[in-house]
Amino acid sequence: MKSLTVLALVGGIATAGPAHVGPGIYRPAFPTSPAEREIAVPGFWLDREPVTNREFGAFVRAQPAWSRDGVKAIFADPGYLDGATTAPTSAPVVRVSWFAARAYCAWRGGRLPREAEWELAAAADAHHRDASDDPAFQAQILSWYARTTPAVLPAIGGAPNAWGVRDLHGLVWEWVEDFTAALVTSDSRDPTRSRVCGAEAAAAKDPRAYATFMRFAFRGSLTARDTVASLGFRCAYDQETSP
Amino acid sequence: MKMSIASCVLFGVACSGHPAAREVQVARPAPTRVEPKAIAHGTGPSLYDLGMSVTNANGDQASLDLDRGHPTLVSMFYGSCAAACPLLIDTIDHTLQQLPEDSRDGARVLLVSFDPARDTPARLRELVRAHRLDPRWTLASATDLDARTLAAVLGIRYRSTPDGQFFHTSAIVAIDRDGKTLARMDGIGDPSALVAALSE
Repeated sequence: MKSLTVLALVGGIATAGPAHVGPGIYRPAFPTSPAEREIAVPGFWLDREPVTNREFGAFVRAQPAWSRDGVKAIFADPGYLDGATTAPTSAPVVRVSWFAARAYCAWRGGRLPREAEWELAAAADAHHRDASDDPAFQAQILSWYARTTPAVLPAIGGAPNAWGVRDLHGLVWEWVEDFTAALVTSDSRDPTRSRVCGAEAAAAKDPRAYATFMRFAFRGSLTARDTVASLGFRCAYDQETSP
Repeated sequence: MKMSIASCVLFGVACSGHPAAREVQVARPAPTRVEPKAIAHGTGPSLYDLGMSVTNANGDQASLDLDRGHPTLVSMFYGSCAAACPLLIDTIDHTLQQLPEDSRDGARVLLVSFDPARDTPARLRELVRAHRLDPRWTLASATDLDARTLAAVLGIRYRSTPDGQFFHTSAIVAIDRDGKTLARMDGIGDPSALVAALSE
């Protein structure tokens, strides 16, 4: 585990600061309306790695209102930061609520990425900015989705994708700012009717749709104070920042 | 009594029972000792713990807990919405009308727009006038960031569309004097749970 940590740090130093992502076109596998088959995503900056336990620990020390004992019940469920003190410091922080993730990013001068931004960044493989139609890439993502989360998460520091961003797939799920939005469609004033209902996903023919469906279904199952052992986050920025 | 057949059905009031007997009961209530009012207590964390402020129809920054001390119906909307939002206002209005007389004046309504760019204070004042909303109602807007926060707490989902509209779900949440949840109604439907929650 120690050697992994060192490698991750070396990787982090080699490419300091958030990566610039976009501008680009995000093509949702499940367009929410005919006008949204292609969504133009302006350029933005994105953390190269998920936020780690070490980084989140520094935030909590600076802002005790977000400590495990200090957090208000409206902002996080009772599992908030459970196990964080004993987790590897270079592993992604998990068991953080959406509120806490947003507070962290605001503290860093950023914000959570929007779903379209996250999906645009995550559509890249090592060499292509848009690998979403590559069956091998999708199969790789799906094989990760099929594994269970290890009890102790490994450190950050996977291979960078074409934008220079790491670990979007394969380590943890990540919060996005508008995580509830995916399920709201023009014909669903009724929240139980959604575009990612099981039938629709089963009918979807391409694997791109299925991997996206997994993410949308997961996000759609969350509420803002939920904390989950396989759910972390990273921050986005509207301007270039020096972290 | 302005109760329609529809609301009889909605609120479970016996329409075809024995109106004469009911009238006698109503007309001659048994003399009772005046009990102190039961104060309803909600559960869970308080909405007011968000420590958020909103922009009201006068253009002032107001704390989200501006109606602290009053049982309040809270919801979100956007003013340029043609269909669901007038229905939301009608439903809340209808809910207030159903309250027993001694709960009616104390109840409050807080409607927060998630479209701060278009729901300016002037536009909010227009809506107040157009819907003839009395001073129990507060229309306000929140920044994009705060609107997302409030929506997340209230369990309301929304997103903007490329043509400048919003797709959103509707919910009305009844909170107690301290901002804790008493009842909620998802979608626009039978508000009897809200009426019961605010009846003291």
